[in-house]
Amino acid sequence: MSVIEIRGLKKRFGKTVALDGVELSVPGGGIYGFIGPNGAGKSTTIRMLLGLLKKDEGDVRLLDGDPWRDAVELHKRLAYVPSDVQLWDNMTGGEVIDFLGRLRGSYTKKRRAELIERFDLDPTKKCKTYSKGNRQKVLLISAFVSDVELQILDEPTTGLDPLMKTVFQQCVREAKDAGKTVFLSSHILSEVEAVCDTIGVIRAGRIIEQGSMEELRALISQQEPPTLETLFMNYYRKDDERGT
Amino acid sequence: MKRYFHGTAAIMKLYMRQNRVFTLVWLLLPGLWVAINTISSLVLFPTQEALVEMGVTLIDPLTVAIHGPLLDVSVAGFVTWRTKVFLVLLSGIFSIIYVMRHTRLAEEQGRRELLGANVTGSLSPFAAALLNMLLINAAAAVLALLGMTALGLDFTGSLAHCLGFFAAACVLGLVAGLVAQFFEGASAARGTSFGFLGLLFALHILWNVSGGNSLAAYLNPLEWPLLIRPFAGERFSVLLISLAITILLAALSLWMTHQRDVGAGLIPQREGRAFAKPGFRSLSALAWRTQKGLFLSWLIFYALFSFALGCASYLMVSAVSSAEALAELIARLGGVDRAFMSLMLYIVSMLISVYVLMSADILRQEETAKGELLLSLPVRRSRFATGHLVYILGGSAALALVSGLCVGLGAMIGTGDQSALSRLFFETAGKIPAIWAFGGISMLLFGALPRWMSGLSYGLLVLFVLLEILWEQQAVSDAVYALSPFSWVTPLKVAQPPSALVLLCAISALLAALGIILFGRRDAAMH
Repeated sequence: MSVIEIRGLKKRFGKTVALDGVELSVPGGGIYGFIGPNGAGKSTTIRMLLGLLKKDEGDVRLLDGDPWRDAVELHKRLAYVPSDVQLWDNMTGGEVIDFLGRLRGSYTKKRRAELIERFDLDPTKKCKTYSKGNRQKVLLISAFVSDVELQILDEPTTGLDPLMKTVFQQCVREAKDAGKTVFLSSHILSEVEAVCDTIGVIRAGRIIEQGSMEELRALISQQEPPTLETLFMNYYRKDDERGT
Repeated sequence: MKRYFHGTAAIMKLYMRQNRVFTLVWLLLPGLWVAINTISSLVLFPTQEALVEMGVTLIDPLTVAIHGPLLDVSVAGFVTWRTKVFLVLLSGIFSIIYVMRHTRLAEEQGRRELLGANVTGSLSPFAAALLNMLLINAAAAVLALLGMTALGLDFTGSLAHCLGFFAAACVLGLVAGLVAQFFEGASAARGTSFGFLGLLFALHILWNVSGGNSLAAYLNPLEWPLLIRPFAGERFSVLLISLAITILLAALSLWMTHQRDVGAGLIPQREGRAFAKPGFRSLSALAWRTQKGLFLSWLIFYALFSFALGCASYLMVSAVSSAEALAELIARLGGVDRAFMSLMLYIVSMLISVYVLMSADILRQEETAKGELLLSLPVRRSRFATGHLVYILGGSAALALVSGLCVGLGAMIGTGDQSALSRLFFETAGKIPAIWAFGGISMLLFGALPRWMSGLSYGLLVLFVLLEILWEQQAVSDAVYALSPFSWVTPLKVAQPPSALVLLCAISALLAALGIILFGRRDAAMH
């Protein structure tokens, strides 16, 4: 059973084509790595899944619902961490975590205390004094604190230090072990390689590769040198050749 | 010395290049204010008799409380008496903002770090801020002095007046520089500086009301322009006290800057709460959190301003009685003071429309900056918008009602006329439909053209104000003027139909509802 099912999804902003027929399927109960260069359409796809943007064409199913029409009901079952983290200057990290948790409706004090401890966050500081990494921690805690079926994380680790990245990966694995689905958008390939079960590669508004990590490993082994990096660079190059 | 002050001149130049409009206003306003007052006094009191007569009528408790005793009955004495408090407050506030911007705010925002990493002395950025503040105040004082002498006032007295407000403004700026050393947060430091200024002002009024000549008054910068006695046997020796305080404050704050780390303060930043209050769990509660700063600051300002306006209303009897253009209005409303108040309330209601637009801007900013996060929660878009609409419409109505109440109370106290309270209160309340029309327009734009919302709504406000001016000059017809919501509440038109107000409310509600529906259907959280 798939948690996310996208067929022929198109979205235009004025003359710019952001999504050009995206085909994507995320199986339930695993970690899905969503990779692609800047401006490929990662965030736009995620915003469609959240019902923030209206589709021009195609079909989107999220947790067996329509993300645009059933947004309120579906959002009870998911948590989201945006890539560009902006918080309220006059609120503390603790207040943000409580507020978001209460609105989402599924969190416990025990879990909150545990995550604040693991991510080593001072919840009494005002958000304006947090560094980017600390702001990200606030939202990661707020996402993992909720007992939801689906986590949508948009480049959540760009400001985190190596130690916190490890904590993050543990949290993601724990979510998977608890039978939840994680949709992880990233361009840190080592991270994707380390935790993901399935991978989708987006380029210029289209999915150009999708498969399990095992399938991808077979492709990687044909590269020279055999790394995900090389494979990724080759996708890049192919696209350039297509362009010229 | 090089270790401490290297590059000060270069940093001074850098600061001077920033915020030029701010600096220009600070530089010109004192001189302009003195010049305007001098010219109007010369016109108002062509003879010594007129002055003596006025001098007697001016001795009412409110005026004395703010301005103190009139030292010399002459145009020069009158001008210095009327302008000194405003000049000190104005240049003082500018000095505080300026020093704070280049000290604590720069540290908080990381700009200070960038300067410190360059080839500069450890005290240079701070010294440059203080020196620039002194320089700008000096230039403003020189301009005011030139204005006064050019208008024929005696040089020595003018010099005393300008030196008085110059010394006071500099000391207030230096106080801000000292306060900046204590706090880690710029807002706490700024708040403390303005709080201190408020305290000095309260003491100033207390001394004026009690008529006492306290020795402590020599330590309050707000008293210096009076104690220096311009045009009444100048006592320049008062400036020695100012000089001593200036040197003391500058030395102390430089020493403290030298002692501490960049970014650190003596008073640690207040810790916030680790857990949210139990009631903080809805979009309405969040809307209050984001709107309350704007709302409360406007509320306090309008309450005080309206009360002062009401108190001063009876002074207007003689001030505008010759304005022929208002003859019809004056006749209809029964008196110059009533006509004046009607016009003032009308202008106040136009200013409250600016609040409506600012409040709507907060909604839009919340959407672009945090909408992605908020709308990923199980919440309806309409709830997100209506949470803020409460402040756009309800907040502006509250501002109008409080203004009406305070202006009425002030007028009742000032004139002893019991009917003033209800009359002025209901008159202000009657402006609310026109103010709401801007709420409706903003919400419609928020739903339909979010990217253009801010520009278009402010543009429309300016257009309606222009229509107002053109209509008063009879350059546009009644039909064109009717496009402006203000035309339906203006006191300049004879009897407005009450149905117009109901219609304005209905249109505002309709536009707002349409805006919310469109917001529910458009792409959200886009920049």
